[in-house]
Amino acid sequence: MTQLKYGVFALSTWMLAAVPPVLAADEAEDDELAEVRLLGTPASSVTAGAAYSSDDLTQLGRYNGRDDSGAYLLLNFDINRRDDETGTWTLVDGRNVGMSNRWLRYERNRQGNWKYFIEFDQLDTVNPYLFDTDLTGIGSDQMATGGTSTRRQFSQQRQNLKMGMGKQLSKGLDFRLSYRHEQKEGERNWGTGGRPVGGSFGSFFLVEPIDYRTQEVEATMDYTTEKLQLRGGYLLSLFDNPTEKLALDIGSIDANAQAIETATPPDNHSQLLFLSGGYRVSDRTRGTFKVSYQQDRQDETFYQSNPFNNRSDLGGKVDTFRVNLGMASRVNADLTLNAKLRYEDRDDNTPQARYISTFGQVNQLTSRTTTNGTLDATYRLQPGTSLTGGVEYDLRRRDPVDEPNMARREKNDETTFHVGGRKKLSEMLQGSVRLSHSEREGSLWLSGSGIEAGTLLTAPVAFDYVNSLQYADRTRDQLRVMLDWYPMEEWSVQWVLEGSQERYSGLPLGPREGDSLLASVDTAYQLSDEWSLNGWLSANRRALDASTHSWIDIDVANFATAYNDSQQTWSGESIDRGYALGLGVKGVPSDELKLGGSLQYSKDTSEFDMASIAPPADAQYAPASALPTIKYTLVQLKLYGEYALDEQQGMRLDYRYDRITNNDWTWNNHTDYFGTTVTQADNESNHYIGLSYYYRGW
Amino acid sequence: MSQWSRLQSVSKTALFVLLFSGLALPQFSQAAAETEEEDEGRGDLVLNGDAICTRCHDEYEYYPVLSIGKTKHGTRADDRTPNCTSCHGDSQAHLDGSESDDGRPLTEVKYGVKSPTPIPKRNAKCIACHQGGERIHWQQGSHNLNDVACTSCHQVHTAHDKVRERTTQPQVCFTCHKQQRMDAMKFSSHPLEDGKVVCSDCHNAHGSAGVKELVRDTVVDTCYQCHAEKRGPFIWSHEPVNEDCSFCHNSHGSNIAGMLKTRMPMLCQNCHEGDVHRGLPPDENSRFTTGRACANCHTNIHGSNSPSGAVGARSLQR
Repeated sequence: MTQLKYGVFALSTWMLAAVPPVLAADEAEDDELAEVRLLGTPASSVTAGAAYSSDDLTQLGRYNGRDDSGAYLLLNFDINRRDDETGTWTLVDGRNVGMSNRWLRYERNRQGNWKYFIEFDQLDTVNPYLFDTDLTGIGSDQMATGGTSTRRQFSQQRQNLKMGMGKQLSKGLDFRLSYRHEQKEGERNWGTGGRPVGGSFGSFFLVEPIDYRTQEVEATMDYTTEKLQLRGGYLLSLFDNPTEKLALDIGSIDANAQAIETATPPDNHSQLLFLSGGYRVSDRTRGTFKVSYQQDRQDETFYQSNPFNNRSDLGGKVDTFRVNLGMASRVNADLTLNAKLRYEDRDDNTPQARYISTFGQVNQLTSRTTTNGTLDATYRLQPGTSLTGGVEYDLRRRDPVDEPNMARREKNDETTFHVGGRKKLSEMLQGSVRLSHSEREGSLWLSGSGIEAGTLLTAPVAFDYVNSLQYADRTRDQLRVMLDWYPMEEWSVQWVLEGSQERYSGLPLGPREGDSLLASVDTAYQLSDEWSLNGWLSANRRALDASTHSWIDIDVANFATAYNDSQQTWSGESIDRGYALGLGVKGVPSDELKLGGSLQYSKDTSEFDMASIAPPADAQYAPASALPTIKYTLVQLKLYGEYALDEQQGMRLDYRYDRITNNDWTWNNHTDYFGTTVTQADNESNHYIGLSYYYRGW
Repeated sequence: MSQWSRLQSVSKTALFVLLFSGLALPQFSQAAAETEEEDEGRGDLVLNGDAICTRCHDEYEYYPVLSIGKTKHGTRADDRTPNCTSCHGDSQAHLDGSESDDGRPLTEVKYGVKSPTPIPKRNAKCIACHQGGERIHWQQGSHNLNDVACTSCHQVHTAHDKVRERTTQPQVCFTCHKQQRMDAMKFSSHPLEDGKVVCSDCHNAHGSAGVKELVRDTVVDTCYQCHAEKRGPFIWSHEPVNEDCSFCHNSHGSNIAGMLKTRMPMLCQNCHEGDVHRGLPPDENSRFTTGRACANCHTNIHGSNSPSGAVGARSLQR
């Protein structure tokens, strides 16, 4: 980091030396009018200083560029200049320039005429786990078990470079072009399963070398008149990954085993052509549309030939056609109608070929169509009071899939009705309520793997008996209530209550019911002209209850006949609860001094309760009563003070304290890797203090 | 990061700042000189035709107004920019009225939480100029349908509109979206804090042709903007992946790594169960529950392009 900090420090010193005198050029204007006009002149700011972070961080430093303890350079600038004669803006922005999550942007535009910009954005992501591993070859696509165990932490870095331009070709006709190049590099923890010769099945630790490149080119043309607005465009997205597979040599575990090869994400690209628009049919009615055609392709040359077909690549090609229509109309002064229709046809045109000989299995296609229509009405009874109602219909049709490994439906349709109202109860109190009810059902269930494709589920077949979330019959009720209260000019309070309940049905097993609840209150109070307070408190709960069954207790040879849908089943309920609060204060105790602070606290728990519905014959396969509850708490305290040396410059002091506790046992309990263990710290805290100088002027 | 990579990073940063600051600074000098304009009396202060309003309204009253001059609305060389009455109406009664115990009559269109002006009428003033581009579908958007005023989110009379600044935008959205505020504080969430990923990267609050006001037409295409490696198509696809990421992920935050809605294996058991090992009850010491759980072995959970012919590729293990 040293060279980086020195480099940025040198640059910031140069900028500070150069910019303030230039920005201060207008200070000579000292009459009242000039002062007033300055209030309407774009202002700029530069902040520079140093900060100290007390601890090396794994979980708290995941994205903020402060994962190492020590000193950091603070440098932010926001420079805005406008040539009032021509309306030409020059904008130079930098945020967190001294840290690894820096962002820089330069833009020049003549408002209403032309524009160009270039932007750089960097994000370092640190994996919150520590790995003690004997894996060798990390960083390459050839790894092996059996090396000397070392402690590793993995991270990735995204560097985004974006540039673009725009030009008004004539009145109402605008062209825009942008290009984005993202390079993502680093390493991420991964894994693969395998069975050493003569051994039991186990999982192996792997590290994927990340060297992804994503590029996007987007060109749009806008045509805008008072009545008609059109936007047509083309989007090209390219993804490249030079790593095609990872090979893991497990010779240290089994000298006779072949290396395990695992495919990595292949290169792919996508093109989108679209035309979107709106037209004001009359003073009361407006219609909109969007049509688009998208093609996704993946034809990366296979890293090895497939033994059962002659293909050198997948030839993956998915064509998607979409239409969206909308109409909004104020039928009269009180009634507004709004209708939308959305249609999508995803056509998977990838050629099918046999890829696995054992069962003659071919690659699966994923074609489907989605149709969604809504009609909403709002009726205004009197100023501040309105009633709303509407209906939504969603229809999804999926083409058959060759030998799916779960039961599925070719059609689902869902109808949702909602009603609501908004009322101004008094000058101090206004609120709204919305209720919705939806019913989802579908076509007959088709079997999963092991049964001839297209077979209807008319007889019990064990592994088809799951009511999967996206296909199941579902009834859902939702409620949302909001209340805004202004008891005094200085005080406001807002309440929100949201709840939902879902009930699933159809097949015997799978999700049964779920619910969610959110209650929240926010308040703000202006203590005086100088001081203000705000605070909020929220609580929520989400739960999903599902049932399933354990097959392992059944005689394999007689699986289908031995299974009975009332036997050996168990239920599990996931319950996530959260509580969070925030407090804030801001003050200006004197002309020179600004003070402020905020405190945020949250506590989240994840529970999973289990119970036997029909106990297994062999008690060892019965579920425990519950998994250990996982708790995660976060405390974040931020304080700042600004002292003005004069009208344009001053000093700022920031202090921040973060603390988390996390008893997630998921990684700490994982002992299944050969030669690798994982540690997740159960708590972490950090003090951060920053002192900076700022200049704000014109 | 290696020393060489750090040096590369320094070089890139240095090049960027030198190039663009160097380009910018001569402009500052030139522009600074140009601002020494003659004092022609009070007249219009920050907008064309604002004199009639700014004779009373200025930066020192309860609601300061002159900072609008710092914004794009205040770029007077652009003949499309508004004056006060473009947004507030001609307001003749307000102009003619005299102060009384009841106060001066209000402007024809008034903004703010206690405004008596119907929200559609307020929003119509903004839409009159801003209907094109990203706002073509405003009328079909959920914010419009729920009577959300443009000024509920935007501050027009200030140089730094909080909702247009990446570091402060989530605070504005969280004013109404409380669940998302809670989710963002959970163990696994997108990096909102320093404006690295913000609400508008995924959602178009002004309405879109896609679902959930997303910037792309579908959930998956929105996520592929940053996660294109999951786009495929693959030899062996995982069907929910190309239909809707939110079947498994809560993109606003979760207590579970990977922003998963539920831990594995329970997540997977919502669809898969029954044969082999898939219906086993989770156990705190089992490899089906710990580590990456199901994904310990089914590692290519978003799809596999393994041409090896191995049976395990089909179950996304290779």
